[in-house]
Amino acid sequence: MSVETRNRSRPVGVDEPVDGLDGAAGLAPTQALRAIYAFFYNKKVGLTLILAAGLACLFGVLFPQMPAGVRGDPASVDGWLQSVRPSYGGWTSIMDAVGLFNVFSSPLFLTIMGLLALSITACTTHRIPVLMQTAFHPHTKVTAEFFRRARLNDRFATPLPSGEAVALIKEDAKARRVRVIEDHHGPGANLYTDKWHLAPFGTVIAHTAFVVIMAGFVVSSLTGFRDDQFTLTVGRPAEVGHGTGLVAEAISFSDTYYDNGSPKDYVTDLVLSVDGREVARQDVRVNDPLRYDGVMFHQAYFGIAAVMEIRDASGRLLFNDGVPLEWTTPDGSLSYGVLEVPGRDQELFVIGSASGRTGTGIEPGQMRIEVYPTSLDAPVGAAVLDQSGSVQIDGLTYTFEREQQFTGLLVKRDPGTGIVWLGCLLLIIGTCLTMFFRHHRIWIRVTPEAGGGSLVQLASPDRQDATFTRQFAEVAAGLAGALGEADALGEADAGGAGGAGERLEPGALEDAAVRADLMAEAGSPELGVIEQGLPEANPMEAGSPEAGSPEPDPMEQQSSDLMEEGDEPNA
Amino acid sequence: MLEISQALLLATTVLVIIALVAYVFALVAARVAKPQPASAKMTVAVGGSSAAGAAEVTRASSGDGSAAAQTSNHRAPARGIAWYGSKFTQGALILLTGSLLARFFATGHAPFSNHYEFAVSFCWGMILALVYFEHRYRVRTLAVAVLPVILAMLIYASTLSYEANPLMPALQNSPLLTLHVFTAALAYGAGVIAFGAAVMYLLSPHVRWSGWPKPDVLDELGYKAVIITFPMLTIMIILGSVWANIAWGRYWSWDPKETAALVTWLIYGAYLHARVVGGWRGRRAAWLLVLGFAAIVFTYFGNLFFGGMHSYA
Repeated sequence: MSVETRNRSRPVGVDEPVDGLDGAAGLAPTQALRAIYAFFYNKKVGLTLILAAGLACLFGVLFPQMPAGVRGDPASVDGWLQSVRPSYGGWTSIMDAVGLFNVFSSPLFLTIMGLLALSITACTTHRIPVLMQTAFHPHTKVTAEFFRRARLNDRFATPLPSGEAVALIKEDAKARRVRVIEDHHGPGANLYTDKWHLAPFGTVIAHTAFVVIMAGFVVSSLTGFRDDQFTLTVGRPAEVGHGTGLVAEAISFSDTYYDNGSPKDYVTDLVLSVDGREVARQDVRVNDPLRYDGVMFHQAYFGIAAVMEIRDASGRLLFNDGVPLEWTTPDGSLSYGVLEVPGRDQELFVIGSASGRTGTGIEPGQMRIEVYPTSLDAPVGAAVLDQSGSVQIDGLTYTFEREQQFTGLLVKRDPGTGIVWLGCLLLIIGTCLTMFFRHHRIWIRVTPEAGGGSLVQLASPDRQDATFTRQFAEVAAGLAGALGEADALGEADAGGAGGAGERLEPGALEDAAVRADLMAEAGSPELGVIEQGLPEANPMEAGSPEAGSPEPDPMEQQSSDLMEEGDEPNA
Repeated sequence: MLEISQALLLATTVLVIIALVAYVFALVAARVAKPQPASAKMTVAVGGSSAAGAAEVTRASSGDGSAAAQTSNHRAPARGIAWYGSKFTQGALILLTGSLLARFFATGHAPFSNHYEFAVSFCWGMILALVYFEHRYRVRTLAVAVLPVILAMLIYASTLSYEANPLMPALQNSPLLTLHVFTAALAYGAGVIAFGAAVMYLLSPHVRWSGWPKPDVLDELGYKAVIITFPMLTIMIILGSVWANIAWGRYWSWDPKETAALVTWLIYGAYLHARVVGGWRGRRAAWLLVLGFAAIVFTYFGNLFFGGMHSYA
């Protein structure tokens, strides 16, 4: 009713918006892109995606995953689902429908990983300017307030004049291999010192690495080839295919066992040829694949093959090779292999007793053959053959010559692998750089004092870190000792709190030195010795970074620059 | 030699039990002890001013405020029960190292190749991490949270068969076997420290004893432990991937154990990110550390239920 009233009182004009879309339509494309970019570099979004990826992976661990070779064939999928149905009962179909048996190839998982890649890319891109600024153009100007309010701060007086004190501080920094940047704006002499200023780039490297690895996965799945079941009957060459032009032959295969029956070694003496010319030969073991021209041959499995001969009614040879019995029936009693009958729309099943199994109706040395039309379940013929035995089925003569070992190889060419290794290398470098090398910064101001001496102030806003707290204390004590009276050096060494310079007031250094002493140097404190907290967070750092200001990187764990959060130093 | 190794494992278990009893006794004794009159709380302004913005540190003081006096106050007694607990823990580390060395000499390969051997190595990593963190950061109460986990794993390891089996073909890669599993032991060992610190952090609001480490200290300890766990997990997963590519022709197979390791890595990665996301610091971050260690335990035991290519481990 009220709407009607409003409409009556304010007729819709030609230029007036009639719905909310007009407002959104007014959004410039660049603004929209910026909003999308901001969404992806938001760390809460990144965190949510990481946890979502973890949860999806967990489902992939908890529930059996359908083998890749099964997914493409509806009959195989149905058979696989039947195999897990005893465990999941009526839930099997539902779980299959929601993708719980195909988690890692499901659209949801791939979407999460894609969004994660975007989030990482956006976060990294967003972070780089800040890191560049901090590493190469750090804030060197700071306020007087900064030296009083920074998380770590200390000050001491020295009898040395300002210039001499600065020179000694520089020498000390050089000895400690610390970068020094002088700021000439005053007041007094200002030095910015830091160590490992490139370490924060480790986060960029690590995050980039993750995207590179994902790119490697994509390249692996889209390019090259992988044949998981490339079988070679010993002594029977076979083309590798996939455009390699290679012919592979297993000269021999041996499987050896320890005294307790556990496997010791599987070795294929593998020869590769191109146009009849041998190009490579190697004993291929599980941990020793053969590599030729980017194609890898890995030892995967082995077994018994039935060497079969198939001739047509005219006596023409259609097939003479091994049929690997690489499959096993669900009850494990029979091994079998399948061959597409050359020139026919039929499949030949060659079946033998599994190793050690008896009472199957197939005696050792015998093979049962069954010939099926591809589209039918009923065989057109079947027979049990002794070695060298033959049978005619549907106009073809099938002869079981003998048993022979076969070796199963995994053959692949994977251009993505190199990309993945590059990503892994970057990930290790980036992670270690970030975790083990921390960017530590100390600002130092030296101002002349009445009487010819100087006041030395040190401060750092960097995030709570006991190690850096101790280092800060050591630096301050060392400088106080170096710039002060000689007889006070011992005090600096012993307590680390004050040194020779006149201590003006208790500061973080005292606490830092005492704490460092307690945590590292002191004897054996009893339980609860570290009941004190570390210095409380500076309120200026505790708040969330302002909108638009760079957020601290999670892996960097550096403080956001104090000066960037409202304590802009004096001009 | 295998018997010697097993005997050393049992001796380690005994020492850990004694150490745990010592720590618990020390904790109880410390809780019932009267507060020291001279140990007044003193507030020291950081930066010389307690005005707005100045951080404040509260620390125990002997009264005169000198660092030496404070230190001596905290040190006493020099050899309390907890000191013995610490020494027993260090003794356990030595014995367990001996156990692993004895097994190495007996089998001829690094003791990382089956479920039993990794259980022992896992224990070794946890004790090593505890000894390191105790020495480095002097937080002995941590042992009360961590030693029960170590003890449980030691007892579990003792129930497994210590018979040595020769290496199956896939495991016959000595450098990668050693590095892959060794980094896992280090990562998982530091993980239990992060777990212990997180549990203590979560318990902090319910503990009224002043000797309980402050949440900030526990938070930092957890982070320090993850600084070891995360890179080691990263290296462990990558080495496993390199090895899988050599042995199985796949650098990633979504095998249950490797996927569980990835889940663990993601959880610790989430923790590192959580520390800089407002609202996720503190308790939520601590819960992530608990979850991370649960993932470690799941990764270790998971293959018993899910099989896969790590079924021997």
